[in-house]
Amino acid sequence: MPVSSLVLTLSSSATLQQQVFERLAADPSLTLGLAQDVAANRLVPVVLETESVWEAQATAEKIAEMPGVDQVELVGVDFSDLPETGTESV
Amino acid sequence: MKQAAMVAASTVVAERAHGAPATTARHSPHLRVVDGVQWDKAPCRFCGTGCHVQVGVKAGKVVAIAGDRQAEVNKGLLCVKGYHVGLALYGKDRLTQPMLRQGDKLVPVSWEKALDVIADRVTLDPKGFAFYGSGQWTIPEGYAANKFMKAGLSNNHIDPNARLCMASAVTGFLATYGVDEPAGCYDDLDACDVILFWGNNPAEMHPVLFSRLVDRRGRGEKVRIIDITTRHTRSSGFADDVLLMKPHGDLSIANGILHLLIKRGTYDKDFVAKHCAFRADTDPGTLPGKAITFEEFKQQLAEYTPEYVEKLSGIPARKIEELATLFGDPKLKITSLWCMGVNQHTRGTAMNTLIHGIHLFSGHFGTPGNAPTSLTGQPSACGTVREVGTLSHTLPGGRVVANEKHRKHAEDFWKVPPGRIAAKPGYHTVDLWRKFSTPKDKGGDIHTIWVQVTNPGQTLPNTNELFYPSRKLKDKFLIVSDVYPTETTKHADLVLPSAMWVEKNGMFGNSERRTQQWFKMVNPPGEARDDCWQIIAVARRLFDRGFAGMKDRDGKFLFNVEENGKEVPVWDFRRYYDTNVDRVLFEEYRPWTRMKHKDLAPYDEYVKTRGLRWPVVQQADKSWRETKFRFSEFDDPYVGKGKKIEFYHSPTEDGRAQVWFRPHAPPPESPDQDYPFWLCTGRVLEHWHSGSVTMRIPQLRRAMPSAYVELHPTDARALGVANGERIRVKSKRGDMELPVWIGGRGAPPPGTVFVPFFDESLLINRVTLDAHDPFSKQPDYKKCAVRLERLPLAVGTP
Repeated sequence: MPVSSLVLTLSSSATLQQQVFERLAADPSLTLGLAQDVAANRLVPVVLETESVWEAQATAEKIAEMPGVDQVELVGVDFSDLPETGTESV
Repeated sequence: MKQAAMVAASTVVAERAHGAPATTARHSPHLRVVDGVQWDKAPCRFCGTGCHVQVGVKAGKVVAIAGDRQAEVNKGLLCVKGYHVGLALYGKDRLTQPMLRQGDKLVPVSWEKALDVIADRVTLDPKGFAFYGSGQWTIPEGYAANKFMKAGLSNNHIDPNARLCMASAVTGFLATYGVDEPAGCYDDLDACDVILFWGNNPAEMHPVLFSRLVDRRGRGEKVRIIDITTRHTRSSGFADDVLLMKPHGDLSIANGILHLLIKRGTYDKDFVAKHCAFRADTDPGTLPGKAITFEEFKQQLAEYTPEYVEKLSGIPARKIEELATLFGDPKLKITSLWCMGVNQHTRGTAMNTLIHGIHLFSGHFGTPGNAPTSLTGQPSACGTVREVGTLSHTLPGGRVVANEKHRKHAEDFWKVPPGRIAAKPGYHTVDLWRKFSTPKDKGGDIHTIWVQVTNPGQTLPNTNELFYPSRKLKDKFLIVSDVYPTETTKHADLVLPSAMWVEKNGMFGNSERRTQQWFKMVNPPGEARDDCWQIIAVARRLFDRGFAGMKDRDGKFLFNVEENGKEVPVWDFRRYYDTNVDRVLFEEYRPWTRMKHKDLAPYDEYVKTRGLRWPVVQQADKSWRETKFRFSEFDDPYVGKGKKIEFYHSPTEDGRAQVWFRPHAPPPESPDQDYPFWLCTGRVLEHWHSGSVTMRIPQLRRAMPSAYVELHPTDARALGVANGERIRVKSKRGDMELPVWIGGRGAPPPGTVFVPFFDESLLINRVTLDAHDPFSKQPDYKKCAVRLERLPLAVGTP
C-alpha cells in the first residue's frame, strides 16, 4: 500500500481553512499532522494511504482543487512494506 | 511506515516554519535521525538532471525517499522515478555472487577466482583488453577505470555508453568554444521568456526541469515554449508552438534562422564583432574546420530562404520567419534545450554548433535566460565521462591522448614512467564492439571487454552486427559488472555483482556543471561489491603478479592509498572502507581540472552542499564560490576585467567563439519502396534507459509494462491493425514484433513510427542503424528506414 507524504499550503482565509480541515478529516485515507503558520499561509503535513499510486495521485489532485487549498506538494513516498519484486513477478 | 511518512511531511513544514533543522554528525553533516529513520542526502540515481533526494534508512534498509528541499536543482520536487529510486535496490533477483560461464551455464565462483580470471585475460594480451563504461559510473569509478587502462595497461580502448548519448554535444562545444560543457545553467529556465526544445522531450526525460518551466506559468509568468520535433510528445502538449519537422530537417531550420538574421540585419552586430569568428567544414571534414569571412558565411547561407527551408524541413516558411523574429529581438531572453534528437544524429556535431551559432550570432548568450544548453541523459555523463575523460581519445581535465604535452601531464599526475600513455586513441564504442564481434584473423583485435554499469546487449545500435556475433566466437570473453541480470549478463562469460547507488560512496556531475557527493548508507546484498573496488582489486592482482603497468615510477602500486604514512590495503574488500577511497581518488583528480578552468573544490566542500557548479574558486575569506554563468564577467572569475564576455579557451586563441556554417545533408538511410517508414527510438517517463532497474520497481513497471510501436491512425488503417495487435517492424538489419499503440502517449506523423528501448523482451536495437557522426562517432538512433508487417492473428482472437 503506497504511503505518501504531502504538504498542503492553505490560503489565509480562516473560514476556508476550517472548511478544508473538515473535508480532509472526513477522508479516511488521510491523516493530518500539526499545522503551522508560515507568513500569511498555513502549512499542513498530511499522510495519504491508498491502494495504488494512481489512487494517490487522484486524491492529491482532488485536494488541490478544494477551495482554500493553494498548493499540494508531494514530499515523500514510503515503500518499506512492499514485497521485493523481480521482473518475472510483476 | 505511516509514522515515517508523517515525519517526512512534518519535517518540511517545520523547516519552513523555523528554518533548517539541526544536524547530527556521523560521517555526514546532513544526517538526521527522526523516529529511528536516518535521513541523509544523495543525488538521484537516474537521469542527468541531478535532483537531490533525502534517503530514509532504517534497520540497514532504505525505507523512504523524499525530495530534498535544500537542493537548488529540484527544490524538493522529484519525478515518478525519483520518488521510487529507493526501490531500485530491492528487486529480488539482485546479482549477489560472481558467476563464470561453464558450457551453457553461469556457475557461482569466488571473488578470488573471478579476479584471477580477469587478470589472466589482461595478461593474455594487454593491448586487446578493453573497458566499456558508463555515464552512470561515479566520478571516482570512472577515474579509476581510466587510470587502470591508460596508465596501467598503456591502452586507450576504454569508451563509455555516453558515446551513444552526448558525444555530439562535446564536439559541438569544442568546435564552438574550444572547451566542453554548457556556459549557462538551470537558472536560465527561471529567467527566459522563450524556450526552444530542439529534438527534446523534457516532460518525460527531464521532468523536474520541465516542471520548473511549467510552474512559472502557474505563477502567472509568461514563458513561450516552442517544440521543434519529429513527433508529438508530452512536451508538445504544453508548447505554444509545435513545429513538426521532417527527420533530419533541423539543420535547414537553423540555417534559415541565420539567413534571415543577416537579411534583416537583426543579428547582434556588436556581440559578433567583439566575440565571434566564422567557420566552415573542410573536405575531408575535421573538427576545427577552416576560417571563413562574414561575407562567405552570408553567401553560403543565402540559399536557405524560408521557402527552401520549408521544402527541406516541412516547417512552414512563416514559422521560420517567426523564429528569426524572436532571435532578432534583443529584449527577449531565449534559452535552447536539446538532447538526443540533436545528439543521436549523423550530423550531430553540425547541429550542435548551429544552435550555439544562432545564440551567439543573435547575442542571446551570457546573461541569465539567454543560453544554448544541452542536457545529458545519465547522472554523470558530464562529471565522469566529459570531465574525467573516459572516452577512448581523452584524458582527465580536457586533455587528449594524441597531444604529447597532455600525455606528459598525465604521466606526471599518475607518476608513471615517460611513454606509458599511448598516443593513439582507442576504439570508439561502435568500432570497439565491431572489433569484438570480428574474428581475430579478420582484424578483430579486441579479445576481452569488461563492461561496468551499462547494458550494451540492449542499448548498442544494430546489435545483430555489433553485439551478438562476438558471443559465437570462442576466443572472445565478455566480463560484466552489474546489479541485475540483463541482456548483456545473459551473454556474458563472467558476471560480477555490483553495489549500487547508496550501497557505496559516490560522486556525480550533472548537466549544469554541478558536482555532487553522497555517502554509503546501506550494505550491498550478498557478495555484491563496489565497481571501484573491483577495478582496484584487479589492478592489485596484476601488481602482485609483477605486471609492470600497475607500478608507478617508484615501484609503488598504481592505486596506492596511504593514511598516516601507512599503506591501506583497499584491494581487500574487508578493508575497502577503512578509508574513504572516493575522497582519495577525487583529491588525486582535482589538480587535473585546472587546465581548462573547470576547477573543483576539495571533496569535503561537496560533503557540505547539494553540489557546486564549476569552476569553483576559493575566495579571499577561504570560502568556495561556484560559477553559474561561464564566460560572463559578472559571474565567471576567469573572464578578464572589463571584457564582459570572454571565450578564454577559444579554438582560435583570440577570445572568440566560432559561428559555423553547416549545410543540410541527407540522412544515411531514408524510407524507400521496400522500407517505407521512418523508425525513431527513445525513452519513456517511467523507465530509465534499458529498464534493468526501473522494470524491477513495481509501480513503474505496472505503469509502463511493455514496449510498443506508436503508429499514426492513418497508417494503422492502411495496415489493417488495431490497438494492441502485434506487427513486425523490420529493417535491413533485423526485426522485432511489437504491440501497436495508436493515440497513446506520443503521436508520430503519418509515415513515422516510434519504439521505446526500455523493454528487455522487445529489443528494438536489433533493428536500428549504427551509422554515426563523423566527428563525435555518436550513432543515429532517431531515424532509419523500416517496413511494417501485419502478423496473423492468434487462434481464438475475436
